[in-house]
Amino acid sequence: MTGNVPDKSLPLLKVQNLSKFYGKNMGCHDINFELAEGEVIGVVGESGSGKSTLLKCIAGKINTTNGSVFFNSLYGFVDLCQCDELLLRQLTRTQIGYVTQNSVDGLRMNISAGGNIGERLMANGMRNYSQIRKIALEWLEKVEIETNRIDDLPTTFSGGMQQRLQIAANLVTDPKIILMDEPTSGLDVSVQARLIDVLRKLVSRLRLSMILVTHDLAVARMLSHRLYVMKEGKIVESGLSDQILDDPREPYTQLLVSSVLKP
Amino acid sequence: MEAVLKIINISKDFVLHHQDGTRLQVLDHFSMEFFPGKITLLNGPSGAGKSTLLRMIYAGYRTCRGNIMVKHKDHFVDMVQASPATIYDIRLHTIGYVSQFLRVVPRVSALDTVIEPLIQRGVSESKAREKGRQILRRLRIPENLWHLSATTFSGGEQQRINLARGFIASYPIMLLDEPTASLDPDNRDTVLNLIKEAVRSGSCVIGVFHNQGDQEKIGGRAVDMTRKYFHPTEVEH
Amino acid sequence: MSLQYNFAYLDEQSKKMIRRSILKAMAIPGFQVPFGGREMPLPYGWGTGGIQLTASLLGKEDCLKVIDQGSDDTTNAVSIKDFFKKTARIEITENTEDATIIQTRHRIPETPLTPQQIMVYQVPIPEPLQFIEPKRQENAKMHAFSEYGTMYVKLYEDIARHERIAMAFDYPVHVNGRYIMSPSPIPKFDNPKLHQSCAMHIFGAGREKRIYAVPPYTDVVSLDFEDYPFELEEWDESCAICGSDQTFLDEIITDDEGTRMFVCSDTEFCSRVRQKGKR
Repeated sequence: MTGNVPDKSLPLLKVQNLSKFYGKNMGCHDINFELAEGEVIGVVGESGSGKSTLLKCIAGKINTTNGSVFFNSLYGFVDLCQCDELLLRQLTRTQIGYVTQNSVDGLRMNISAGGNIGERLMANGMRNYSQIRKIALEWLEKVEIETNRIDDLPTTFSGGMQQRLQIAANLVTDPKIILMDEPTSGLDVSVQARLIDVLRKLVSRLRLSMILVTHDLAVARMLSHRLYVMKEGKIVESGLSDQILDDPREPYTQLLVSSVLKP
Repeated sequence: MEAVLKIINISKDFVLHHQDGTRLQVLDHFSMEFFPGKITLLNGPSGAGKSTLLRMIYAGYRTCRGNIMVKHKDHFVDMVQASPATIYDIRLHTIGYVSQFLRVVPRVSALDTVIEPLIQRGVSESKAREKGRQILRRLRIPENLWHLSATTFSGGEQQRINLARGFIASYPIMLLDEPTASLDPDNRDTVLNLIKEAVRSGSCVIGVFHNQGDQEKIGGRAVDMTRKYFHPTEVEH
Repeated sequence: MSLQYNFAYLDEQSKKMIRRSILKAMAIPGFQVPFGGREMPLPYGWGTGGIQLTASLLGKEDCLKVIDQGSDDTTNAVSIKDFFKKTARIEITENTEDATIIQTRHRIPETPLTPQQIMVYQVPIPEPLQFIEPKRQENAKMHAFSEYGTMYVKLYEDIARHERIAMAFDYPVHVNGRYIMSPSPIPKFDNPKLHQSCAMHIFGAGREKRIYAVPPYTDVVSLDFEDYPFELEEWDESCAICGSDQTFLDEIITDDEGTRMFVCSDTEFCSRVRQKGKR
């Protein structure tokens, strides 16, 4: 523990030799990268390329087989793969946000929208109803959900609204880093556009640091500064987003980029 | 006069893995220096590497060999080796780039698209909007379109939004990739004036213009990209 | 032919095991101790947890009182009393002051408890976090790490829907500044009686096989928000029978026209007050 000021000279997140095996099957292998504060990294690749596994390892949702995930937390540099569970849980409900592909996994469906947003606040010790309510209303507005829906259950929301609610419920504690696992997949294109737009605004307004896992290259380009291309559990290519998408080098990346239809 | 951009021995080839591994050599040991308050026109047929050179300077394309030294905040930085954070900073403050096509973001108003570079530099929303309105007016974008997303705009309108976005903030180095391609004569003149103003205020402009008339109006040094190889000394201007 | 039961039905080994769990529960106030619950000759939901506790606590000299909904003569109370009359032949009372063990389902008696008394509660759902997080393993971790913020989501939902904390029963409490505990379905009216109580309070959940306890003189604080503090229900009426205005009242509809009357839920206390008044 090195006090309350994160060391700016260090990256926000440093993933080192990270591997995850499911039995003999490889989830992801020997992953190395760094994320700077205020940076958005996109991880792209087809289904089964290990990108979600990588994100879950970083979030501490699954145990890694090997390697480290150093997080420049408010408590100093912490290896999320080694730190004790108490600290990990504390970090994941304050300084790390995690938005899942299925909102059912990331929201409490039997709790109102306001309760879902308020949960992280209450988990961090806020005990004033009016204050929680006020912040929840502000966040509904930020993610473009009508504020009169605050007491409705997420089950009455459309898929896009649920995702936006999930984002609000994660961002409400102002996490240092937010991890997103395919936030736009499974949504209609028009609904996707709105979600991406909301995300884009939040990213630029709040200077979010984010790792975004997606198979949608257009989403990746719009939101990320840099891209990592994964194939069969390994990173095959990385670079600035325009470098990867406009000047792909690796055969797999070229295939990926050329496979996208441009309307 | 000291150059603000020194390109030293750069090469670029593309390997098309899925088209029989074809290797396209676009630039081969290209070197050149660029100076503040000067304009350089890149000439040559399609495939000569004009756009490629601009994109390499902007680090949108990766450089295989050589160095691209950019004067950024009083120090020279090699774009080929620079860290992502440095490149973001250079793109924010030092190098402006106007592409051939606007990358339209759905649901974002034309005005917001235009003022984004200023917002990112930390300019206040109201100041940025005022500047945005000025430049949109100057480029003759009807006021009733400002709050609409550029998705539905015509090609010419989109290009003017793109130019407004490129010229709203000033950059020591400006890269222009066929900025006048789809413009009518009036707007074309406006854009040429914008470019001349940028040069007068000290920007180093590097551009691709297909229109012969535009080239003549702008003046400056012309570089024939088909020659591929340039000795650094011969381009001192 | 009459069957011979061991004293208080349970065999001595089972009682020993349950007593050990009780001691552990007393040592860690509010913590749910798992125990090897035995099958009892009555269905779950009828007080199997409470009966096992009572059976393990009873000695030959004890005097037992059983209440259900505050009343000494409802079915559940009567059959549990019969059960121990038959299997332990101990003294049974309705008088709160005379009892050494009081098994209860919904109430804490209005008569102040004494340090000699043990309250035994029949608990249907021991896990206060179940509403918010159905996963057992996750519940255990939340308790272990004192992650109780999410518990307040339940209160939040109440205020959002009813503009006040509408939970009237089984109102969660924070015990000894550590564990959050469900006080079983007693009305929140009775929660303050747990705080710094001189008596011993032991809770048994038969189906879920959990025992937990509030030892004497322990802090028991009801959860609330700064701007929505814990409040006791109040009645405009006094008891229609004994006239008490400090007790928990039940509403009784007396005819088809919907005429209502409010009476003490604690029948023993009510009749004692009335007797005193007559004298």
